[in-house]
Amino acid sequence: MSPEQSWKSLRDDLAADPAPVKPLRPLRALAPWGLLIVLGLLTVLIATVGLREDAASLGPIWLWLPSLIELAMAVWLLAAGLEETTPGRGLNKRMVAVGVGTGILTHCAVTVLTQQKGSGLSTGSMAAGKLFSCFGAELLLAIPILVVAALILRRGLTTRPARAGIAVGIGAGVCADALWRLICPYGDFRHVLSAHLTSIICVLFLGWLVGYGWDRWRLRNWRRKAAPPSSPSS
Amino acid sequence: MPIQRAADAAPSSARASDTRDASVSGHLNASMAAYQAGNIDAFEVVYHHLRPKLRRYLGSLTLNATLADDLLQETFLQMHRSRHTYLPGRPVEPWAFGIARHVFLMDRRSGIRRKRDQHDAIPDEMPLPEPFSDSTDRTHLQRAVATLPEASREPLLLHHVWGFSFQEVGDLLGLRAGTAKVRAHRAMQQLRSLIRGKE
Repeated sequence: MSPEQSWKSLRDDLAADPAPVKPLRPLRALAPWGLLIVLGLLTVLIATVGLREDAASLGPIWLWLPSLIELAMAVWLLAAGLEETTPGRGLNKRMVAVGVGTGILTHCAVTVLTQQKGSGLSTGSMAAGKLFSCFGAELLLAIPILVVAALILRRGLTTRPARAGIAVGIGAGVCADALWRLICPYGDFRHVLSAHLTSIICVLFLGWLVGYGWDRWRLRNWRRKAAPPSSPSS
Repeated sequence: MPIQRAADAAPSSARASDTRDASVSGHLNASMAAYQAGNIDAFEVVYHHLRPKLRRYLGSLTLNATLADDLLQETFLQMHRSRHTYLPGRPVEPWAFGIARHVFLMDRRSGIRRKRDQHDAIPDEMPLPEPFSDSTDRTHLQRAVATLPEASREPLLLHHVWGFSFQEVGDLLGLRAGTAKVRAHRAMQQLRSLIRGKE
């Protein structure tokens, strides 16, 4: 088929859907919305649960600075994942590995710093109860962020959904931890590692699972469309 | 020894992207913006500019003329469905090649056409890297390029034929720019040794 013939045939197909489209918003245009979501979650948290018990002994700098560091890391991870919405741009494996490693390291470093400056409260006999409440709370905080990120990825043409899922998963997990850090005063490593870090890893896994599942679903649809029609049995 | 001389003269830093015509690029961007605004005819400019490049790119990926033609048409349809993902002001080519690669990978992963078309190699249409493009023995070179491993052939062609920077190649293939550069360099070395072996 000559280029002219191909163009004519293609043009007929395109003419079926000539509606103008709104281009995807650049990431910097999404930043105010992201900030609004985080501020909304923060307001709800502080209004319902209140700031951590040792907020006064920590002082404003050691109360807010660790969370801001974690939030900055989360924004970077989410932005890296959302780059995948545009074909021809996106994540390489090393960036994903560095992102996951840096996210977890930031969480651990900030935890050590906060523990040194904080009241040194330990969960002690309440370890099991606090484990589930902190784990659940962080998961609940992370899920809306993950859902919004997944919707943005869904709107684009994400060519590597599993990778993007991992990046936005760890980003959402770290973001939720940054918020919950303002509430949970317990700094003992057993609690932090079992409740907080585990929830970050779970959200990461959830992000990967969503990306992977979506990729499989898309592939199944592709197969269905591309498969030659089955001949009627005689 | 024309091929040998061409291979030896191949500048490692040859970058066709430096010579990419800025006015053509601007015209393409404007056409894409008009197309996004609902002007289907504006896409004709994009189509005629991209068609030969994408056809050869898909040919180099599939090594199969029939399949490349099918995937080319599917690529343009996918571009239409995903036209909102083009960010105005950004270069059109990396976006279009990204979609073509996605279409190719989805088709390959679906495994539907693999068995049917696997023996229809197209070395005749295999593009040649810049230092070899004027060579008299094209068929021999095209066969040599076709025998390169896919992982290194793709960065080589994207950089030396279509003029993408290594950063763009890395973004397209999901690799670091440095890895893309190393793979392209290895492919060029392999190509030189293949040519030397034949002579």
